[in-house]
Amino acid sequence: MKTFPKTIIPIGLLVLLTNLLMAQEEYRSPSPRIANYVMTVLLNATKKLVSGSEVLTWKNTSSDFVPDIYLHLYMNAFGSEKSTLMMESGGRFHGRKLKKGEKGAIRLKSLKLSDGTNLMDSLSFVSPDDGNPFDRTVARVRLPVSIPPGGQIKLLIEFETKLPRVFARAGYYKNFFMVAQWFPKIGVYQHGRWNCHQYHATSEFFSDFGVYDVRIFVPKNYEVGATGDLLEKTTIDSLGMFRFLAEDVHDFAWAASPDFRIARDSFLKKLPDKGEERVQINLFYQPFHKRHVQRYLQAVKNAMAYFYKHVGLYPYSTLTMIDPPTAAAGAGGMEYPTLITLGTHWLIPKGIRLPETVTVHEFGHQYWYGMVANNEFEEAWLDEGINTYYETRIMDYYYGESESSFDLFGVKISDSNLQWLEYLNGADLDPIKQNAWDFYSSASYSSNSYSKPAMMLRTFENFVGIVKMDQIMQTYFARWKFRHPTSRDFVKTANDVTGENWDWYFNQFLNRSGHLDYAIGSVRSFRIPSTQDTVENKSRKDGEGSTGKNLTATSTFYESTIKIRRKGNFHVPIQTKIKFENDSSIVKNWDGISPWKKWEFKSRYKLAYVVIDPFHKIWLDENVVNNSWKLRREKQAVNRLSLRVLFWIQNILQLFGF
Amino acid sequence: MKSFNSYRDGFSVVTKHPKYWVMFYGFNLMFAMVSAYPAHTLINRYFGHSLRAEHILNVFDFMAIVNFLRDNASGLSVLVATLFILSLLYWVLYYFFMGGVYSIYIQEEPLMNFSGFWNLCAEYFGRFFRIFLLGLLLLLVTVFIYFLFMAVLKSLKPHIFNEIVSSILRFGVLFVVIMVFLFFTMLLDYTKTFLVLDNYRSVFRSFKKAVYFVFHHLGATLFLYGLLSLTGLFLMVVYLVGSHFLTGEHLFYIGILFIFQQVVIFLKVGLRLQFFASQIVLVRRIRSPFSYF
Repeated sequence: MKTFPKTIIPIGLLVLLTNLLMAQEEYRSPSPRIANYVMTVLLNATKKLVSGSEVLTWKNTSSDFVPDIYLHLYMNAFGSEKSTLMMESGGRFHGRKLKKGEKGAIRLKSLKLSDGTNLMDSLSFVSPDDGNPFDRTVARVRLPVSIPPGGQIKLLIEFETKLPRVFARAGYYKNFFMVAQWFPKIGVYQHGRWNCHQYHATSEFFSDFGVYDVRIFVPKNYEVGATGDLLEKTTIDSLGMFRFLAEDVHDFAWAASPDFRIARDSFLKKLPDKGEERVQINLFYQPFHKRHVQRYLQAVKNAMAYFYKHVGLYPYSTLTMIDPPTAAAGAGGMEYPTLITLGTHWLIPKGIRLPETVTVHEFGHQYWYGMVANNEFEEAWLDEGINTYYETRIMDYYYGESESSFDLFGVKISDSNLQWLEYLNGADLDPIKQNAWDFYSSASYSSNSYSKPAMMLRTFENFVGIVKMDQIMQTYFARWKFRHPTSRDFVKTANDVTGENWDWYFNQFLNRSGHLDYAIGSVRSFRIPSTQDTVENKSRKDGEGSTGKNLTATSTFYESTIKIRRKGNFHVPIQTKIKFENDSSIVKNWDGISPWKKWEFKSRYKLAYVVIDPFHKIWLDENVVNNSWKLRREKQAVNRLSLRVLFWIQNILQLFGF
Repeated sequence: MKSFNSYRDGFSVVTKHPKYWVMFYGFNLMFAMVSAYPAHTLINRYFGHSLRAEHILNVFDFMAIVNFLRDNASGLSVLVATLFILSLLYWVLYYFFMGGVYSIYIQEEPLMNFSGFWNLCAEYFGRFFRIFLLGLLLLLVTVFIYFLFMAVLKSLKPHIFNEIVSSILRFGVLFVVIMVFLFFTMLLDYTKTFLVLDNYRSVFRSFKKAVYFVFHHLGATLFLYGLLSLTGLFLMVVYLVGSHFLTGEHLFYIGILFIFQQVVIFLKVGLRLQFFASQIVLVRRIRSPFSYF
């Protein structure tokens, strides 16, 4: 028998201990797994009812003794015309109202602690946002004993969810079921209180990460697509059973229909340890959308590749895509962890890139919402705005900078252009950062949560450069994935990575409403008497306008005056290009803070034109036409435009000759 | 063959009376200019010194167009309202002139001066105006048919299998309604023909006669209408292709573009007159088949 030297034993123990620690490190979940669910549910397709049981385990990661818990009961928003969601929306989404018999609701049949203590009597409905007594989307449950710091609670819940006809995000249409916001879901305990908002017309959601183990029973001819990995699929009598496991996610949604066709694809990702792994893509599509299958799949692979290269790794092994029927479009264009819903119509031609845009946008949410899980109720821009920014980047990159959204009959419109238009529609109504239900209107919410932040980030990207921007976003992603960042965290990341303080920039748009528009005020260029002269540049306000050159000339000179105005209340530094008739040009910089700026100088050649922001860096600029001033009137171009108008008016009049 | 010959002879009739063709064209240009001048002023004021004016000509400059529409919303709404009122006036005046034109096309001898033409316009205006009102009524009927079909579709929607069937039906309804509208237009043309040809006092009688005629000679009338409509489509294609090549910004190119556009409009005006003339010829051919040999 071979004996080991004495020193081997402690070294061996040390190695074993180190390995154990390393193994622990290796298997540590990426998220804190605070809210964990085990559910078994049955879909009654005839009654549009989902009933089942839920075991909810919640960990108290705070340093407080928590005396109660708050539950989201989102589906109750569709049960009463007086719910906050219905009141805010006027009872209308996607142009339709819920009819009698189409309403939805969630009913708790029992609520117990794991030791059998009944909690139903200590449940009460609360309305923390607006005090609406008719809103039953948030329930507070007083506990017999507070949950200590580091402790956990296990709740046994039986519930029944009546799905509404697809209205806002979830519901049924014929035999299509989009089951989302459907189970009793715990709020987020943060900063010494529960953050559990009511279901609003414009807001989306906020919850803690955890593990979902869900068994779904459906009629056996149904297919089911859901959050997470499909672990098991069997048939039991007349029912099909699907078991899904989703780890490190903060919500669970699923869709079921007997009409689903399934297309599968995969995306190869290279892992940091040099290994490779495939993300399984499952597309559940409508039979009449077959011609769009490749468009969907290509779009999602484009988005995956782009995010992989510019932001970070998609850590999950699956992505499920649900294509709803067009009549249930209200269920489309939504994001859930590892599951996205799409939207198209069989008639949409290739030149209208709606399916691609929706796919790219919703996939982006896997990062901005799915992993970097900000509070969508309170700071929707952090996911919608950042994601829209990436949507414009990806769409413009893969589908063309000028035609990424629309390319038909010679009319080309980019995704960035469309976002810019939406930004204009609500630019001055609200600041970006505020509660989703506090915006002036749903249009303002949309403009200020999606488009304005996207334009703000595109402008910022042009200031810092694309490489630095990628570094900022990669750092932000790395710091905040599987956590709940705020606007402050985003700005801090930008400041840290660039080494500059950008608070002045972000604070304007995040906290104030207003306009950003720089315009040429006036431009003059006069011939002055020809003498032996020294050309001297003068600049008002800050002296930046000087070219720094002193020219000695013997021929004709021109004295020029340029005035530029800041017409909005927001400011950014701007560049101005001044072009002379001999084709030479100079570029002037201005911090853009004062209401106007004047440059005066003498030059050998007359001015040809002046253009603000010549490289179109400032996407936030609301008017691009007033950015330039040509000294010679654009007679030809104007005449050509007028001729077009004349011709089409003649045609219209001719129509009246019937 | 009857239709084809009527198409050809109709064109001859129009060219035999060029001054009325020119008059209708001038009438169109004048009305269009009244609307287009303020538009020109607006464009000039907004884009006159901007580099975007040049840009917008070469590409579909979405941002500049959006800025223009937003910043000139009130001016544009006044323009659209003006255009609408002018179009209605144009429509009524067109009917005034049509009485004279139909009379001249139906008469074998061309008139030597305009005074006779004005007299004919005035003589028929009352009856033609009633045809105009009948046209409005038929337009309303067309709109009603559209909404009726759409309401039926909406009520059927839950039972329609999927969005393909639904879309096809919607497009089908639109197509049918356009066809109905064009058919009504054709009926109104024949109403005018019979009103002048047989000098009916009653618009309703000539309309009845037109309906009877069209349904008894459905193939010939539809074929002729189709031929004329195809000519119109051809003209639009010619314009779209031609204007694609006329992109220069020099004054010379602008002049060429203007001439090209006006030639197209001139031909379109002539084509509308050819509709009238060819239909008159067709009626005559069917009534007395040997008169044209």
